[in-house]
Amino acid sequence: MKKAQINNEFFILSALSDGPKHGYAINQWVISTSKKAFSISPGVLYPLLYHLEKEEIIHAEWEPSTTGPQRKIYSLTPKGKKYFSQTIHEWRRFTQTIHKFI
Amino acid sequence: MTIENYIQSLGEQLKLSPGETQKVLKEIAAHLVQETASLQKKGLSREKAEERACTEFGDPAVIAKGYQKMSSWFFRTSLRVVALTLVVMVIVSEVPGRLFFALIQLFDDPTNISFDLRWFDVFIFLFYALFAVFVFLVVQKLTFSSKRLWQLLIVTLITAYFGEILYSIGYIIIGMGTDALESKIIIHLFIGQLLKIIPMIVVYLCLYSTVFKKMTLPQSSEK
Repeated sequence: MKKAQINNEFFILSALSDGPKHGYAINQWVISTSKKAFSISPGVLYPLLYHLEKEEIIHAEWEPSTTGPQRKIYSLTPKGKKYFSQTIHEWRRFTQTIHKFI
Repeated sequence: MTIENYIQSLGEQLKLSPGETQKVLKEIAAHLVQETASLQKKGLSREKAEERACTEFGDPAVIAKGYQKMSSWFFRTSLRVVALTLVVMVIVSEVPGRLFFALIQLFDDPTNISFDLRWFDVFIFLFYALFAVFVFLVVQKLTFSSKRLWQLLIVTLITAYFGEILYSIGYIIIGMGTDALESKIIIHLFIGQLLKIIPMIVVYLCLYSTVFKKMTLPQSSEK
């Protein structure tokens, strides 16, 4: 099967639309949801989360922890939710177009 | 490589503010600790697990560059503000300015000017006014996060400048046959308008490399 160029940003937003998560859990969610077909390299994931937070698409809060290191929990902001629904719309249009060629 | 060494190496290469760097390192350290624990559960020794977690995370130099690229957000925002300011300046200054000239020319005594430009300024004003209305209507249909909006605004700006050049050309054509001094002034005016294009091209190229060309991030691929 050919390599598929998948938008990591879309994966992150999709994972967060399912509920707040930390970086590690976002990737685990992508792996399990795609049945191990996709994953986001951590070296890509964290800079991208940083960018999305700066753009106010996602919001981050440090989760207090007694057992291990503190973790940063991400969630979608209202702007992020709107952006995600736009992205879904674009993806739907894209897949519908591709279906015409199959 | 241990997590400590990895974090130290990354910290040395990150070009963010000290506060931002601390936050980024704290988050990455938490990830590496979690990944190490996960690998240990799979039977790896602590040393091997740490090394593998760090290796899988990626080269600290590459990761640092990724953050650097992202942090250009401030630069991009600044450019957006500059571009928008320029556009607003053009629309705000050109439309009333042209209206003023159009009215002056229209109500002025035609014998006071060497060649009849009374209607020329009126048409130029109408062109700008209609274009401004068009831009306004299109902008209403776009979200402010849209890449298309910025392209549209830049096109507006460029069009306004080209409008100025056309305006000058019009003057030259209509002004042909007038005395030499006036022709010279008109040609200087035309050159001046051409020079306006240079900063515009610079702004456009800056925007192209930052705003239009969306960040090119490594894409995940099928396993």
